[in-house]
Amino acid sequence: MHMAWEASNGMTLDRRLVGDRSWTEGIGVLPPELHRDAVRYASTKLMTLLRHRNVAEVPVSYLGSETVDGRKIEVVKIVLEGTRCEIELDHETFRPVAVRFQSSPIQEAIENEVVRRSYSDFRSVNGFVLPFRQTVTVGGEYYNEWQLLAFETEPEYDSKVFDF
Amino acid sequence: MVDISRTIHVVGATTRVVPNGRLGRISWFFALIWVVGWGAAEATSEPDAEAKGRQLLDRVVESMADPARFDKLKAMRMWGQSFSKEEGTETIDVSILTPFPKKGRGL
Repeated sequence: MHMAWEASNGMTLDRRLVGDRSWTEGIGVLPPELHRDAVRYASTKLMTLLRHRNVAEVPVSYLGSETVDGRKIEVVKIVLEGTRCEIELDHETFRPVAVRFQSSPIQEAIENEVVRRSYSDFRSVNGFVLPFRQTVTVGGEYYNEWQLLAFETEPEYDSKVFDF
Repeated sequence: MVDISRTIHVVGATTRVVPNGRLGRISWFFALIWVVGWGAAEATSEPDAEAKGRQLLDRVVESMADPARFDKLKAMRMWGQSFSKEEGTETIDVSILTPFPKKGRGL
C-alpha cells in the first residue's frame, strides 16, 4: 500500500507500507534545497490549480484553441508557486482534458521534460464529476496511469500528518 | 508590448523608400495608424486574456461540481491504483488525502 498525502499548501508526504515495514518520503525528508521544487510539483494538481482560479495574485491567461487528437480544446495558463501549468479543456463540455507542465528536479528520472497528465473516464460520484483515469506522458511518451476506485469528501484526518 | 525599436526600424525603412512628397506623408500616416492600432490591441489583449482564462476555469469547475461546494471543500480522499504499462510494474494501491484548509494562496 502506498499512502500519499498532499496538502494544498504544497506539503507532500508519501508513506509506503509494505508488510510491517514503513518509511516516509516527501518534503519532510527531502533535502532543503528540493523543498521548493516539491512545493511546485504539488501545485500542478488539477484540483489545487482550480481552487486558485480566482485568486487575484495568481496569474491566469487564455492562450487560445488547439486541436489535440482531432478534438478542439481551449488552453488556459495558470502560474502557481512559480510553476507554469497549462490546463487543456474541452471546447464543448468544458471538462478538463489535461494539465501540462515542466517536470521539476524532484522527478529525477524525468527532469526538464514536459509532463502531460490527461483525464478521462468521467463518472459522477458524491455530487462530483471526476476523471476516474489519469494518464501521464513525459516528453510525449507514455509514463504511467492512475485509476480512481473511490472518492470521499470531507474525510476525517489527523492534520499532524502535515507537520514537518 | 509594442516593439518600439522594430517599429522605428520599419517606419525608417518606409521613409527611406519613399522619403518625400505625398507618398512619403501617406506612408508616415499609415505607419502611425499601424503603431497606434497595434498598441491599442496590445493594451486590451492582456486583460481580455486574463478574464477569459478565469471564465473558462470557472466553466471547468462547473463541469465537475457545484462551484460553491467545490470551493468550500475542506478535504478529499481518493483511493485508486497506479500502474505503468511500459515498465510492467506491479499495480500499487494508492490513497491520497488532500486537505484544503482555506481557499487561495497561503493555504
